[in-house]
Amino acid sequence: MATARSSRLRIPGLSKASALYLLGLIFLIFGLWIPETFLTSATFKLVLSDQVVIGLLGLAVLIPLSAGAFDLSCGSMLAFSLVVVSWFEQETGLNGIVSSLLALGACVVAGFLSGLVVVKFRVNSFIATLGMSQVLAAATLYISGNRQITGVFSSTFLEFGRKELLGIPIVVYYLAAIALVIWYVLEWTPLGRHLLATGANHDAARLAGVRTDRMVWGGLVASAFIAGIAGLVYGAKVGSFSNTFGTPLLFPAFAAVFFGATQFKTRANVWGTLIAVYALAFGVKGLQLAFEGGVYWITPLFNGLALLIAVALASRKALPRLRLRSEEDGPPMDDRSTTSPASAPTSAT
Amino acid sequence: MPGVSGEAALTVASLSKTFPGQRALIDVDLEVRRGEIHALIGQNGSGKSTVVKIIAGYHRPDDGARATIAGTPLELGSTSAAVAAGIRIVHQDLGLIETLSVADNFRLNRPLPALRPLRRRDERAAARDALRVLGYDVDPTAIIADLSESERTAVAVARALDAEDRGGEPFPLLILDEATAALPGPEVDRLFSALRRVVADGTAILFISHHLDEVLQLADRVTVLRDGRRITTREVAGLTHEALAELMLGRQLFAEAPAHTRHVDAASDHTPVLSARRIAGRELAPLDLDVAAGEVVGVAGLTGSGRDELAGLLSGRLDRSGDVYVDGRIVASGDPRVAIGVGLCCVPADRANDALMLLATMRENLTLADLAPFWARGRLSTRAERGDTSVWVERLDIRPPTPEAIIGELSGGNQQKTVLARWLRVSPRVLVLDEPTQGVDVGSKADIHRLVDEAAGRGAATVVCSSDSAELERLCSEVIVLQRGRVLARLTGDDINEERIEEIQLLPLSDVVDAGAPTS
Repeated sequence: MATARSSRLRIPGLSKASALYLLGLIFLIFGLWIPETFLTSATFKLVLSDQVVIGLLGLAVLIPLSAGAFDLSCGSMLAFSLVVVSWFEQETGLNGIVSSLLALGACVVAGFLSGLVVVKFRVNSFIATLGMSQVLAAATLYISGNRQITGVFSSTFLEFGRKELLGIPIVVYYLAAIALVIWYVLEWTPLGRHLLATGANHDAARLAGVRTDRMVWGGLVASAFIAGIAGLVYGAKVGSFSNTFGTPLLFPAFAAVFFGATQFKTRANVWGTLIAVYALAFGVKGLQLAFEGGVYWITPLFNGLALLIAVALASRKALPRLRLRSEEDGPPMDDRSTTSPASAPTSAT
Repeated sequence: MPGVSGEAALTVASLSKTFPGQRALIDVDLEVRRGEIHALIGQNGSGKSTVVKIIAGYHRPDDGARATIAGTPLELGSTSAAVAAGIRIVHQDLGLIETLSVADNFRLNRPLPALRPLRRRDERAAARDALRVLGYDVDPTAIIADLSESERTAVAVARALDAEDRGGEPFPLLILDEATAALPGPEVDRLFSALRRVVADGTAILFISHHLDEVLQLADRVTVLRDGRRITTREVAGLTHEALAELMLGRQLFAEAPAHTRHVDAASDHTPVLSARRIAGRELAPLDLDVAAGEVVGVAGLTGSGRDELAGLLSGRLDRSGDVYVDGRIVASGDPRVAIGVGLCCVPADRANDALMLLATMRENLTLADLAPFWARGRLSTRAERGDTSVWVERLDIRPPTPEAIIGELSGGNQQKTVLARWLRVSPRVLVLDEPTQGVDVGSKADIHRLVDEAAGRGAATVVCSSDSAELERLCSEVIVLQRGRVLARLTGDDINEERIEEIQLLPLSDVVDAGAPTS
């Protein structure tokens, strides 16, 4: 107890902030090794802006996960959002902002339907959103006609993805702003507290008066909305839609959220997610620069190892702590432990 | 010292067990004969579960204990030795997987054939036959959850006795550890004839039960434990219910008539805050209950009597039939939020699953039910929250005062106080407590009792469901005793004492049918 408290007051330990240490280590190694390519503003801008979409997707995953629900549809949601806005730009004379709002509206409807299936039909969120992701993939293929869509965006629309502000790509500001909003809601409002309580123990939260169904449902809608924004940001940044886009981003986003969940707290959180995204991205970038493109396989390897090590470091600390407690809790074996199964964690099974 | 005859299925001699700070068993002898049903009875804490756990191998006895099974020595305190010796056990929870079929549950008990395909047809036939032997005709493809309680128990028994490779040799010993606790009345008879078939085939049964009428009806001999010692072993024939209860309790029973039906004064000015009309669940038969402001009504009863259901039915954790009113307003079934909205708050028995976010802090757990006071100028004020939490930490005497500690790391007492504080904070109209001091240290227990007094003093209509009779005596102005879902007695005044409550729980059901009817 005492050691745990004192380490909390000091600099966070390796298990609580492994991503920060990793980031520091990456800058140290590549800063000394290849300073001329790694420590340049071009590299920084590139990594910062390239990761915005993954970062947004991670935040989209984070919200329902805080309420205990998985959203596996947010990768296809991203592509769906982009194809809808592209279609409006191509086929109608609507203003880019209006098309974007329509795309976001379509995503919200899809998220609402996922929530309906989860809450009303009591389907596990993992399964419901997996199904929804396939439905969205189908809608995306249908709308795009299985073709790339290029050159449909106006220059004003593209400005939103390509401008810089104070020397930093503008899309980074979008990510920061959305992260701030989510952080505020999760950490500083009763709504956030109810959302986290739902994720921490669904039954207990419901019995404490939390509207757990709404939390899960709302979480899935919010996730769809943010994934939709991520699709728009990608469109404005890259300027085209391709039908291989979307779903492959799901796993990096989840990896970042789980890696981030080991940072600072014992649950998924906003800043942990973003730091995880960027620690991984800078590491991969450094390796790519150092080995000059001969290491196309390095990205998944680095991401995977970092996730495994971070989670192993964190659980090594968290698990014995809980195990210890459940053993201490066991009352001396008297008859009461069998007549009342409620609080007998160690009763024989 | 029971004679070691060739007919003994199990003998245990000089069995003692010392837990840190507590002697659970002192020099207990036990002999179960081949072909008999032997009951082992005793109150909570008498040591009967410890005996079972030692025979099953979960606990190691103190030095000096000896045991034999079917004439050969048995190593006590080893699960593998117990299994190898052919001891089979059915626990209270039966150990069945509710979502699987009967045949699938049978398979779980067997070693898996390495790579041989499962022969489903054979398995089904085997399961069906095993149940037929017990007199049950159950479809082996039926899902466990769809079966009646009696059928489930029969499946668990048949499965325990299921063996592919014993060559027709019966198991020497089957232990039923409160496996009949949840059976509704009529289903007991059906199961009992099945158990008689089991012993007729040569297996001995060691039968653990709280229900003395079951013991009288089923067992051939009975061993009574009290405070860790064997009091007696004798033939059941000729024993009466009262005699058995006296052996268990170690004292004379009260002389008066068993049940008191309380006659509510017509002129009573006690307008009830909480009114329940014919509420019922899986175990509880329709029950009427009125609790006035400041009144503390206790609910006693053995496991399976409906006592463990009542709090869940009132608070909306469980679905119920019947109506609940708070201050005359009806409270919908199965919706805790509605109940909380009218001021009906519940401290559930299973705090780890039904009350706490174990990885969150004490503060977050304590304030969850009402965050509005801390919401100011667009944010939750952690400072205000901390201030409020420390007030409650002090009022509940939570030591050490650690509002920012992870609640899962704290003692059971501090966890329970936190749950209680969550509801005291919102000044409940009705406070329902289910096993409020289970797994809680003595000091915290006294604190929790004091807090319940205070809450009632401030006008909360309070219901305490508890298996701890001393607790009911300490807290309550009226105690309802349940048995098999029915009201056995309503005690008031001097009748509310530990001995009386325990004694009434042990009464035969037939004696008290009249008192069981809801207020007429």
